[in-house]
Amino acid sequence: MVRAGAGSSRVDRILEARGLTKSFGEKEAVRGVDLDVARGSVHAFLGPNGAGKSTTILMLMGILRPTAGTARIDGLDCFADRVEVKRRVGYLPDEPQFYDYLSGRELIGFVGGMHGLSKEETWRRAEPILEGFRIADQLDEFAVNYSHGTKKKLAFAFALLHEPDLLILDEPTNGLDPHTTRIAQDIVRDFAARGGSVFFSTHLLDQAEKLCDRVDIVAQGRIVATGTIREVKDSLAPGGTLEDVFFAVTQAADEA
Amino acid sequence: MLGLAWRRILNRWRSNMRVAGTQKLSVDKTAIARRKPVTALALVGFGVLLLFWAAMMSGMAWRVATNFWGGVAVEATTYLPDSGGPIVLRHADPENVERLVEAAERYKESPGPRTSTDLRRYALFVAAREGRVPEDGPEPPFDFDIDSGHGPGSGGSFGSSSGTTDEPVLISIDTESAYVDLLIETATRRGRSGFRYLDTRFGLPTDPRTIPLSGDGRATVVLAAVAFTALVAFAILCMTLVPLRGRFGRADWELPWLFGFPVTARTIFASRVVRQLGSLWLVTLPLAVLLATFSYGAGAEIWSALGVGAALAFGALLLVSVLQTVLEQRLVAGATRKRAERVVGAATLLGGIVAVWGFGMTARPLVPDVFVHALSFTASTSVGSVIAAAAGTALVSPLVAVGVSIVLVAGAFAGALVVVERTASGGLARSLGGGHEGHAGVDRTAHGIGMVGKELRAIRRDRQVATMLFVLPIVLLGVQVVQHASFGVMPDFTFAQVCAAAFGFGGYSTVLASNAIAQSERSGIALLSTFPVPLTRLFMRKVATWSVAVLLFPALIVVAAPFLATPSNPVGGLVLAVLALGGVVAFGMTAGAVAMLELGRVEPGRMRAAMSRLFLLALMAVFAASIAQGQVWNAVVQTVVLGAIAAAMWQRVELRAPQLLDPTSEPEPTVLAVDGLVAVLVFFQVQVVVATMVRLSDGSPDLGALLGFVFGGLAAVATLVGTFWSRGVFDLVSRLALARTSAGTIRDAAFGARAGLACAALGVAYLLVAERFEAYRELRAGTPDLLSCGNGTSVVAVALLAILAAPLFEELIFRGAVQRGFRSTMGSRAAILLSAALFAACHPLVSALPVFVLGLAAGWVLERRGSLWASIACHATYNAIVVGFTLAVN
Repeated sequence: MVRAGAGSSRVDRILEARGLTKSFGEKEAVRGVDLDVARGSVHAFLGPNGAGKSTTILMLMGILRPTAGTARIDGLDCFADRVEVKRRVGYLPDEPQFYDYLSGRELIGFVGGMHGLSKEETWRRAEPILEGFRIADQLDEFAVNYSHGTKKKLAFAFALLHEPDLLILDEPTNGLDPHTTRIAQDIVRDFAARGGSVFFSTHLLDQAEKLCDRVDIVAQGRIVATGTIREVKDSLAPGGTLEDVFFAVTQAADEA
Repeated sequence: MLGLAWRRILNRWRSNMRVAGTQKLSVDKTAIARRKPVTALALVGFGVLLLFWAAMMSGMAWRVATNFWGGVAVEATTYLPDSGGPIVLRHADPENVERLVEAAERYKESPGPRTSTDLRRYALFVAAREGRVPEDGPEPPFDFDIDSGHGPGSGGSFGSSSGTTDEPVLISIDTESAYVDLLIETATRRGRSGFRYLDTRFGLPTDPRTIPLSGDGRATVVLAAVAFTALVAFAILCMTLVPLRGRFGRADWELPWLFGFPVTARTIFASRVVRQLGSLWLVTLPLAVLLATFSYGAGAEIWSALGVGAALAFGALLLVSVLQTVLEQRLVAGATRKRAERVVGAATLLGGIVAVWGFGMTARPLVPDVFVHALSFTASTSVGSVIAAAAGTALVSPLVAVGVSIVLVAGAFAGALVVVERTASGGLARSLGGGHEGHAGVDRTAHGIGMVGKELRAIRRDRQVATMLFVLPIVLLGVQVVQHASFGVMPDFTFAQVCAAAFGFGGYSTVLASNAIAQSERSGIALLSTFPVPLTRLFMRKVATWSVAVLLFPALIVVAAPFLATPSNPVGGLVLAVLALGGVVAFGMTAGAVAMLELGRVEPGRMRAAMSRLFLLALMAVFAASIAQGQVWNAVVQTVVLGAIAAAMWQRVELRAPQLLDPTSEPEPTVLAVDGLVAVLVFFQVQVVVATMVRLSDGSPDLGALLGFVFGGLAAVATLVGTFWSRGVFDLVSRLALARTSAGTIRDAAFGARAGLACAALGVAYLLVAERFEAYRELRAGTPDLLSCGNGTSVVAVALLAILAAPLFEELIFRGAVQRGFRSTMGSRAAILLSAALFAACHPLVSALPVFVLGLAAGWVLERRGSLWASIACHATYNAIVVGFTLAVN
């Protein structure tokens, strides 16, 4: 692993993983991943398809149980204290799934209720987000009829509803049009500006470059590079783009 | 086209294999390979059952139709051939009676299965015709005399028509004159003219070859064959439509993809039909065998029977394939979810009716002499006679039957093609365009709904589950009423039985719907897992909502109960009614937990699902029986047991919940309350068996009780060891809290003994106070008591039992296994309370109260000292004092 930059250990960390490993039978999807996400930062988790990004995120959410290693969010173990962790985290899955027989409006009410919000509070928080995404007119449809993009927008709203400390976004702009992508990016920036932390996975390099403070590049289930964008670029492909870095480290991992 | 279909069958097969491969992960592959034949066997068995139901249903429908509109002249069933019930013949046309009698005579000479009952029946008909008891031949089973009147005769009646041909002929041989009255009344109520009705409890086996049909017989038979094929097809369709539900509303990726190729809609449709047929072929064989049995039983030659069986089976299945393809295409690809839900709701309902009719029809004739009567039964149903007519009569040849099937299927195919061609473009466009349709039913003011609110909405919108919970029970009852024609034949119910029926109603609906309810949560698990609430608690809320919602009908029945039957004791009746309703909720929670466990299986096993269904039905039967007996204490005990089982099942769900999301996450090896409950069951079963054996051989109840206790205890401990080991728990001594604590075993025991002393003081006080009450003395006199029947020589046995065996084994089971089992996921108070309640429930009512207190104390000392020796000492001290006191008083 290439560790570019130093001094990260002194920063207050909202998310911390040590030796996180997950194997499915013979197959090792994630092999000893270490992560450090500083409070208030936007952190990208970059990697090609099948690198283990979603598996890692599912372990952070306490949905998958790590085969080895630990992950902590706000000092809480992601699996053992998963209920407490979820109070602090807003999660956007890659492929959101809803109940077929509930409408978007009812789903928002449901999610708010599950986080212990009153209905007034739920709607006070949801309305600006929904307006931003321009899905207010679709809220009375059954969720089963929503397009992929609409589902993703709705799930984004769910992730923000309880005003979490940390947003964990799995491919947040996957399947969104350029317009909505920009809205999503604005939300992420806004969230970070108000002191929140964001950890998002993506395979879109420009997005990582635009949004994030620090980046972890993952390939074949291992972290192959970590640091700020500038540090990573300077140490691995001086004068090159993030794309050059990405190809350099992921190809090296493939050959290894 | 065939190539396309074949490739799709192959693809489906492979995709099944692939899904299985990725899901099973670390599961032993050979075990799966071994299970395949079992699954196939189960499927075949299921298919046979299904078709039997279907055939029975069509027979039933046919009967109803002929009863209402007239039709085939001959109607006969054989029920309870040896029971000696009454017989009633009723025909609009007196000639038909003559024909029947002739048929009976010929039946005597024709080959085929024959019992002494058939001969008796023959004699009966001869007697009926000639108006006398036959002098020679077999002895008639009944007293028989003739009365010219219609009305309820003293012995029996033989009523001939009084002039007009419209007037029915009645022949009745009466053993239960009330029943005959009822039949006459029913027959009269159903309509005087054109009504043909023969027998309700047993009649005459019909040989259709010898009975010319009235009217245009040929047309009737052809019509019947068509109706029968269509009905069987319809029944299968209902059954196969329900699983389609999982695909509703999802984009049908295949159809747009196929339309990208230069093939016509017609080709695509035809290939889909062939694919459906490919997935249904397994059903064809049992169906063909069944239909062949029908026609053979009805008297057809073996080869023509096989031919007809094959032709009708294949025709029915082809019909199913065509209809299913059309529906699938229209529903999956095109229609809105709402409409699809409606169709599935209807299919569930109709499938349920098939099942109910099947149950209702098969129970009676199949009890005695299964094979002989099954054959004669098939022969005598209308279905059997119709098939036989189609198979080998002079009227219709097998060729006609085959031809009918072909015409039917071809017609359906052509019709389906028209539908498909018309909807292909529209439906496709909608499925490609994402299908936006407004839903007027959505509540625009919905806010802040929790798990309960969500489920209440689901009850409104999820048609399949709603049908199972709220419509099917009504249909069930309705079918029973129709089948038994009148409430008048029902026996007088006691209040307790009405309460049991209320429980049965709710329990049965829950068993029917529990899996569908659990499956409805599958799409939501990912969402639920993002909330800061434990998954198990959400599931519990969900299942609790349904369990309470299902109380609708049981509550109505309980409210109506006082009007149907008067309880012998108002307070007892009230308690019973409350227990019945509480039982529905407890049972619903149990069924929900079982279904949730099934949802979490890495490898969904059909056999296991069937087994858990059976387990639930058995549990339901036991509870319903205890309510129906009307003994309040027994019902309380069963409620406690049911509650404990529900709690234990939810504990398993809780431990397995992480596996719902992560199949590789094996739960930690833990002591479970379920193991404790199994140990309790083994303990009592073995105890009863051994005690009975000893008593039978030796006659000493004391020795029997002692040995029973010891063997029961040993068996329970062995069971515990076995289940713990199978769970990977090996440190039994520490798990059962038998290890030495820091305080030392002696000190722990002394602590326990002190608590036992306190309990014993209470126990003795209870005995002294209770003895003053008449009710207690009566109760005690009615309870078999070891101590009161003991004589001098058995004091040793009693002492050994009370001071050594009982404390040791009962504490191991109730405190060591049950309480510690619950404790692994529960707080100490709940665990102590549950195990103490169970402990008290396992004792007779006279001692339940002090024993409950003892259970609480023993549980408390275990929690306090962490040593089971403390509980054992507590129990032993209590027993020594209380038993000693009782012996001294006696």
